[in-house]
Amino acid sequence: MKHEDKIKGAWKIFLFTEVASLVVVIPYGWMMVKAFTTPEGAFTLSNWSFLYQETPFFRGLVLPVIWPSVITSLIFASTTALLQIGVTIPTAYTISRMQFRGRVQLTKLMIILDAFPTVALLIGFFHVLNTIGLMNTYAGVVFVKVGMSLPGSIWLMKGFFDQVPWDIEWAAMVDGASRFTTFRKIIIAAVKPGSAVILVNSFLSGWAEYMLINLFIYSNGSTVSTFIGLMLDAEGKTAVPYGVMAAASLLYVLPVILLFIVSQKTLLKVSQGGSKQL
Amino acid sequence: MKHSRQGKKDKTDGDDLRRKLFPYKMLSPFFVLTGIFVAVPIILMIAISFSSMGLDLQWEFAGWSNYKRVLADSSIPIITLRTVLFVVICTVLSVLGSIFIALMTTYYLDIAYKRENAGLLFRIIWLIPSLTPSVVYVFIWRFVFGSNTQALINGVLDKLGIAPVTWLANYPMQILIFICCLSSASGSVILFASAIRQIPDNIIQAARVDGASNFYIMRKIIMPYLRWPITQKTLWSVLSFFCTYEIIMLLTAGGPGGKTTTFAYYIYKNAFELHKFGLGSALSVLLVAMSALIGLVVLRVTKVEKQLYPPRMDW
Repeated sequence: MKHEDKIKGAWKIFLFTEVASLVVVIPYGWMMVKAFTTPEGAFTLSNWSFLYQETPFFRGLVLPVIWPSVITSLIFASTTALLQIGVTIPTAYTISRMQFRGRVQLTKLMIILDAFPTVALLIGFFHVLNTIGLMNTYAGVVFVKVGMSLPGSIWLMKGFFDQVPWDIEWAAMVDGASRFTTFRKIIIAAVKPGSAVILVNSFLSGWAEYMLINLFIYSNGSTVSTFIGLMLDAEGKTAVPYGVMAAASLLYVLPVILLFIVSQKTLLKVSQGGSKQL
Repeated sequence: MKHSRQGKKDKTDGDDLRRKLFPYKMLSPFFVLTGIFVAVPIILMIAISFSSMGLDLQWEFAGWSNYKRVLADSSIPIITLRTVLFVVICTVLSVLGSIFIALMTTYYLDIAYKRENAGLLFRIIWLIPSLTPSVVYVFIWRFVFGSNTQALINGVLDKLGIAPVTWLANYPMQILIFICCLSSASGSVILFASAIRQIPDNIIQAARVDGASNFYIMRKIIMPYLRWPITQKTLWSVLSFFCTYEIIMLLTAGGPGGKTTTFAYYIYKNAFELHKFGLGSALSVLLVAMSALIGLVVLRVTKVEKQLYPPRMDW
């Protein structure tokens, strides 16, 4: 009976959590409402005109059609995710499961690099990209972005490789496979959840990237983030309708939330990552 | 730990060398990428800090002059103090906030009251801020705290007949702290939630049978299990708040009157708005020196040697 009583009291907690969650729900809800209403509050779809035509917004500046930006963002995010996973997997495998000179030092370096402040590297990035001729190219931004986030994802991935039983690797090698073949055919399959986490995370982070694209790519409105950034810079000084910004933002955020909800079973299971309690 | 197997006994010297080199081959993509895009920029940062380089990227040796300018800059002490306060307040609030949400959703709703769907729903709601790209995230809050009556709070005040408040001009730091905390707390709810879920069910059941209240269970059973995630999250938050500049740039651009300029944003401003790469690099070196202290704590806490398992095969 006591158990029953406890369950009855749930509404208090429910209400309490609900009130606390309003801090998130109200602004996001309001954004959704704004995306479909005029400043006066009537329903409209005119905020979404950037979907099919160029929209003038202020001082002769024209908001382009959004689709090229969406495609650029998609390509940028996928390339980032693929490069990230491609470099992370062999590195994490080696650190997790192989003995070599400098293993401890490399791991320490990884942790230090993970803690390294990005903003301190921006000037260096600028110089490097300029020197090797990747300035104003997406390839350059992808390299910089992946380079910065590798240590974190390698450390996370190492945790997944640690959990793969050695029997699997032994069995494959007794059957005559080389260590590389074993790695390629057997071990990678055993860490699929980890790869999924890293793929999704780096895709989302590529999709969300604003700062690096803004700094190292000169053309405006080249991805969805800079498309919105273009309007954000003007906010306050000019009358960019909130509705248009809200519509563009909604278009930008929805895929993220959908992707997350689809993959949350995998993502929520494994958030502890590489380092464990000692 | 010798697992030499019969079949491999007759390995040649070439085989041996190949095996020794194999780990390095596997690491080579990492070395190339990190070398060009992380190590070289770090070296450049130090080199540029001794030059008066601008946007033209011309090397012009300037000795210690950038560092002297930093030391002579009267705004540096204020900015540093502001940064420390910002980091401390944000870290404390975001860690406490995310523990609170995790306890509410995962302990109370999931475990104590068996309302798992509600728990999951609230966890997803609380994840949204950290999933939101920074431009949109800042847009939403600029919209909430906007100065005209089109904005959310002022719109409501207007309906109530209260004069609009210029929130971002009057309370820039408070708003900045609030939105940074919210997104950071949102990102770590999962971390704490999964730590709570890993606590063996029978421990909590046993405590309950003994008549322990929910609050007592939370304090005496759950909190000890959260010690490691809390350490992890605290250190990580300190580091990330210390380096926060994107949100500041988008929300207030360091203003008004420099009131929200932290150390990291000051670097960004000097380097990419004023195009003083030399000065910006000198500031970066200082920032790195400061965050290295935190980095050393992370390194100590992580105990790298114990996290590396000896490979259970010779090859």
